Amino acid sequence: MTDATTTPVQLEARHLTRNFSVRTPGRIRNARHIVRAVDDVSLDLIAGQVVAVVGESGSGKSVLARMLARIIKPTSGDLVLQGTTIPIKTKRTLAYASQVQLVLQDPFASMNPVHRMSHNLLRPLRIHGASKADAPGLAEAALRRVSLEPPSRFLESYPHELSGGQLQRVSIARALCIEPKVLLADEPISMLDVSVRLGVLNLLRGLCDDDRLAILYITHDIASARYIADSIIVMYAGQVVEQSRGTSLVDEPTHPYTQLLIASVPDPSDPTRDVPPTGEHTQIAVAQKGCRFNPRCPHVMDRCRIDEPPSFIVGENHTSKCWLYADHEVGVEVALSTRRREGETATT
Amino acid sequence: MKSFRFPRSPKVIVGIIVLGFFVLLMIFGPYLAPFNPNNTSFAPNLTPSAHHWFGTTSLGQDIFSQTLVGARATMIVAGIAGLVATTLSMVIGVAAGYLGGFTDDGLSLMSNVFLALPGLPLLIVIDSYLPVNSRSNSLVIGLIISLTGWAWGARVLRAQTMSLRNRDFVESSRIIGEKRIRIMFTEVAPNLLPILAASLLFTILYSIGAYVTLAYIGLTSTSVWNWGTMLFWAQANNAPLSGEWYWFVPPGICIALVGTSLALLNFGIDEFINPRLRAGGLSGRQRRRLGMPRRQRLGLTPVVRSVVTAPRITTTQNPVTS
Amino acid sequence: MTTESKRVEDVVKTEVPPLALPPTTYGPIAATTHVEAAMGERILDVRNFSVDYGWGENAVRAVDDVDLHLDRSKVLGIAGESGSGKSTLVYAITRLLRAPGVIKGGEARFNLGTDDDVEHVIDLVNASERELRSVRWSSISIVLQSALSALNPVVRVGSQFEEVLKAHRKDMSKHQRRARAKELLAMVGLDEDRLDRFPHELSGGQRQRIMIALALTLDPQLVIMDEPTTALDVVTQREIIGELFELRAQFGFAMIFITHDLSLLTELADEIVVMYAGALVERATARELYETPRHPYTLGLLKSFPPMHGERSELSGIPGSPPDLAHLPTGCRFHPRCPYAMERCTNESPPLVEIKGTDRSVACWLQVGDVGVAVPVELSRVSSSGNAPSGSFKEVTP
Repeated sequence: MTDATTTPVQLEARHLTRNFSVRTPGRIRNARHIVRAVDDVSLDLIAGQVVAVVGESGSGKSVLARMLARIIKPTSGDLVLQGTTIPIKTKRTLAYASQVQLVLQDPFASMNPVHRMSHNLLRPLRIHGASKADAPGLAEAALRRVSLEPPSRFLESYPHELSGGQLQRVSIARALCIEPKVLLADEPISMLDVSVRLGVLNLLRGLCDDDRLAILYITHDIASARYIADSIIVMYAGQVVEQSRGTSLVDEPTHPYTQLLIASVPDPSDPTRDVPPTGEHTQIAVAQKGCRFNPRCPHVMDRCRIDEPPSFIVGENHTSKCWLYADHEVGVEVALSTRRREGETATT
Repeated sequence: MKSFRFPRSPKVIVGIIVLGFFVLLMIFGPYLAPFNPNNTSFAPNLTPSAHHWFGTTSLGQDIFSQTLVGARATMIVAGIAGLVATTLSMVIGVAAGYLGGFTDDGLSLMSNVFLALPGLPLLIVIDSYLPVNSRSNSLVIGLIISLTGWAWGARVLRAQTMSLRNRDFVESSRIIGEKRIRIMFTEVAPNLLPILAASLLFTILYSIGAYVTLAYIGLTSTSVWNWGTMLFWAQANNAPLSGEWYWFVPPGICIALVGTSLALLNFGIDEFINPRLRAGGLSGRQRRRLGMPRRQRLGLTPVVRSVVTAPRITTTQNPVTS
Repeated sequence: MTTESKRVEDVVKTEVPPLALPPTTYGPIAATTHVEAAMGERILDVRNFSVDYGWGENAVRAVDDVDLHLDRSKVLGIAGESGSGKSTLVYAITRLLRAPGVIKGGEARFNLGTDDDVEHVIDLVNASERELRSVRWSSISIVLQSALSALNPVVRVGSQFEEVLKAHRKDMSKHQRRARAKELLAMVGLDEDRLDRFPHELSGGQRQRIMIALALTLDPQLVIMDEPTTALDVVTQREIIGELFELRAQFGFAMIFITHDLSLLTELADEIVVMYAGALVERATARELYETPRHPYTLGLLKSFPPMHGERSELSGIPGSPPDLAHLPTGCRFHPRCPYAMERCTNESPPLVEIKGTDRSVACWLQVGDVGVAVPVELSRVSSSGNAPSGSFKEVTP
């Protein structure tokens, strides 16, 4: 067992899977089928680094965050916190909560409308051992860390008196009060005003750089992921379809879903780029057999409809779960329709 | 708490005034009564006059004094019953809604049973088993009534708790490690205050009805004066048939007024919860002066300004080139 | 739905055919002899429009003296954050704003088209309910933000089309209505069987497509879209917008597109207006706005979108947050957050002025002076005299 303070890998998820049993409405009474909300996802959260998980709604990213926070139990898989394997079927302990915290998406809903902000900061402090005398000072320190000055003014405020950006900062301060090693952020900026988002993103990056937190940043916006992440994971239908260190997968996307995602993002600097075809417009967006993306994939092959592809290595620290890369040693180049124009360098 | 804005709706103000009046009556009634209500020394069946404002009963008792004194028992029993029932419904409803699982199943079953049981017959049965000297005890009667009145509130609070349980701020409390009991009482319960208040008012209303009915049937002790007992005596002496309206009309009106004021207050709480229902602070005259329509109509946003501009439709004779 | 690769520009900026006057089922609109300036190609003309929330001393100005102009078949984008008044403005223009919203001033004229050399224009602000009903949905329709709350949850999708058609086209038979509903669903790429479903049985993208189909039921000349794709993921957003613009190419309607996503607007709008705290701060064509923003708020907004290419560097967004409309700052409402604020900005609110020689307007003291200059990314501080000397900025090279 390694010392918790020196190991860089704070939280490791191995082959996490979460199934939900869903009753389908319709003619067949009580027909139940299994929805694999998260399917065999593994990731490492490292101190001083931001891991971004990008996916649309239904991709399983929020369920993944809650499994890592241990407020949902995984169906199978392992969680390793600072070198110690956690038995996944047990209840979450206070000790785990003191190391791993979660910030939610909606800043207005995250605060109880009847309590002042002081309540939201003093409670976590008291629960995790701060004395009554120390708690107010620590609460003010937490507010300063998220750049809410003067702290006393914010402690006295009710939620309806603050803006979305301020509330989200208080939410982060609440998590920071506990001094966790891992901060999970589930779409922290998607409900904020545009002009306020970068401030909160910079705050998260700062916490990572200055305080060596391990941060998981969940989003549907790949541009913001590119902005703060040290590594990016793209999820589709509960699976990791592509992941890379740094921004390789944004600059050189290999998986057709990632390519589709990147091409769909509004990019006024490049209006003449080609928008890839989206494949057949079917009702079923997720296939039950083979690769889950096959109904929408423009490069779909027969193999894709039968077998689920494994993750192939397509570059340094860059994997892609797609049959197109089965012969990667041969260096097969697929016609990537969003490949940047010849001659442009990445630093333009 | 959000700053308390004094309600401007006329309904609520009337409700507060009327209820306040009866609360004062409850406190000061017995001292203000000119005569002892048991005193049978007056001439019987007198119609209202300057001497006896509400007239006298067949036994020669002053009805006005009876009404004033009766206010106390009626309102106190209703108040106790309302409070106890609401407390019960809160504890059971919140526990069932928040804890879920078997606790919820068990408590819901219990509430459903109490809801399904007909209240009045149950009251009568329980009451008839009481020792006679307890029947004069307001507290005991109040407790019995509350036993039959908590189930409805419990269901409402359970439903509300279930919807609050999934809110982000409750989940945030769980995430930071708060214990369940603390979450129930410090996070969930304060958000139930408006519904609790409405439930309390409604339960008091129900309790008045239950108490008056018990007294009317004669199941409470006749030594304690309340409006229901007055109706009992009035009925027993054939007052409705012999035209002695001054005997049963005063207590009847008092009961009706208290009930109405509680209902009006309930409107006020609804408006407090849902700001859209608020009158908006403008009377009809003010609206007309501003030039606004009397009622807000959907799809016809009002226009308020001093100068009306060009007429509605314009046409131009110039040929238009596309 | 698209089986071949399309260039974004091609889909968005196609030429559109001219339109015919829609039939009115509420009878002809009475003409008066009052003659006004012809609107010509202009379909919507809004001037000095102001909207308050509340009355008396508690009134809050949600929209302050805004001008808007839209030509036939063009796309106008309205960009702004919360509290900017963008939705309030549009709902007030169509008289759909709910209590406690009140129109406090201004005019809004809608050009229904020309019939035998006679131009029919309706004054939306002063129109009666009957006149409003005659243009609502048949000439102006709205796609609301959240389709789940906009569609009646207990009514099947097909019935929602039925209701619209029954109300406006009384002469259609049931069979014809059903055929029209099928046609509309096909236009947005949905199967006929969607008609028998309830809204909650459909995905977010499908519901939004249904909203668009509903909006196009009567072939309107103006379709207003209030954040239609905000709740959708980016891939569905791209699909829906592509379909929308193909429909526009086919039918030629004008569009007002409201969103907080300025980068999306720069791709799809012809002209963009930027609103802040109820006022219009800048108006320009999409390209001009993106390449040479003139208002510091626009510049800040554009810099708030992290880029998809290039070096990763720290961006700052805009410090502070949008103001409380009940407590607006003195002078220019943006000055507390503006990195270029001068003393004048604290005291006087800049008017919206047209920049000479261009078809752009901006409300900023930096632009006072004879030569309008683009606010570049690196900027040397303006002198505190309040006037912007024409040579003190670096010209930006696009």
